[in-house]
Amino acid sequence: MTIAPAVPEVDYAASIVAIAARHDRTAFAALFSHFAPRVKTYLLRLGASPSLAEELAQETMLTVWRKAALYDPARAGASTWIFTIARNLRLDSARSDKRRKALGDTLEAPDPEPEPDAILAADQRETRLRAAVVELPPEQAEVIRHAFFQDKAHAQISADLGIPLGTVKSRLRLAINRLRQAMGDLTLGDLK
Amino acid sequence: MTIRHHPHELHLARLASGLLDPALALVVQAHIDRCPGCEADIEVLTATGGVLLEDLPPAQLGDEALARALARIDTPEMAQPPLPPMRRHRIAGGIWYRPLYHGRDGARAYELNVPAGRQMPEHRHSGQEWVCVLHGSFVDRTGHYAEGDFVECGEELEHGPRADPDQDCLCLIASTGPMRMRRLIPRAFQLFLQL
Repeated sequence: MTIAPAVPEVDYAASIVAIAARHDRTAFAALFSHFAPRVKTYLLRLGASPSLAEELAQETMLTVWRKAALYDPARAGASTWIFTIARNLRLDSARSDKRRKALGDTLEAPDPEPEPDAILAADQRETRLRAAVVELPPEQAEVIRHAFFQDKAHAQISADLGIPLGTVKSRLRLAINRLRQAMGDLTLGDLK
Repeated sequence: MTIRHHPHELHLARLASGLLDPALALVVQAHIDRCPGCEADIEVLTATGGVLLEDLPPAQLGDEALARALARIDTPEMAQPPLPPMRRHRIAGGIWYRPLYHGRDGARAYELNVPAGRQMPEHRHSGQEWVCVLHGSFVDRTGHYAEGDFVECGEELEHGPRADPDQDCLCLIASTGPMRMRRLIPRAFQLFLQL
């Protein structure tokens, strides 16, 4: 498996905005067809059973519909927002006490009128991040791949890569710093 | 306030990717809420998760998955009843805890308050124990920890943390296994063992 994220051809951020503005079912169907199968794969990778993954993928997309007004295209790309919803639903599903936090609490309300410039800037940040993920040095891309979407113990990651755990951490640190720089929120002085 | 102890990179990546146990995730999140550097790491790792999500191979969905979703979006969302506030449980000597989370796998998260200058009995843990200092500070054989610090206590560590004398110490603690007291256990702490 290589990290080669396809640049999305459809403007999914605009689809979410269309759902918020006019309950656009066509936009929802487009989002669903693209994201629901990938969200299900993600949940399976986290160790969810097929039936739970299917149900949480449904719930993720229902949440996209219901909370679309909370989506701020100036702050996050569509895939990041949907990823966050799926991740939080998965965390909630592990509770035994049913004290489920209302998801609205974790999704902050957007600025009332995002400026077109801010949306463009967010779009460019995401494009730069996407490019930076693709361009990570192979040894850094490898630790990102192993740290994400594979439910393995730290020692197992270290064994699978054939490098000490300390090296796993330091490569991950290098990758994080590189990606932060790509997103433009880090100057060299801030590096850990 | 200077935070000196941070969760390491794999913990941050596992939090961002959704792999971290939810009880442990609460503790890392409490640290991140107080640490701008780690918060920026999580932000970029979460955005990376979004990028990687796009790259995942699509899974086969159940029959009529889209039709079912479209049928469900017309159903109004069930209002969740407000949750009752969690109760504080007094243990002994002014020490109290408040349970916050109980996982299906037995992992728990709770707040623990230790009065100024008081020491917890020496104990070990049978699983992971992660701590974020929410208020005050404490000292144990591994070091001194203040507000915002993240502390990981492995199974091998035996310690009896003591709150600093100037103020109470409130911590958010997650554990994946029960505590094990070293010595004769005060009866009140037997109840605490159920944590």
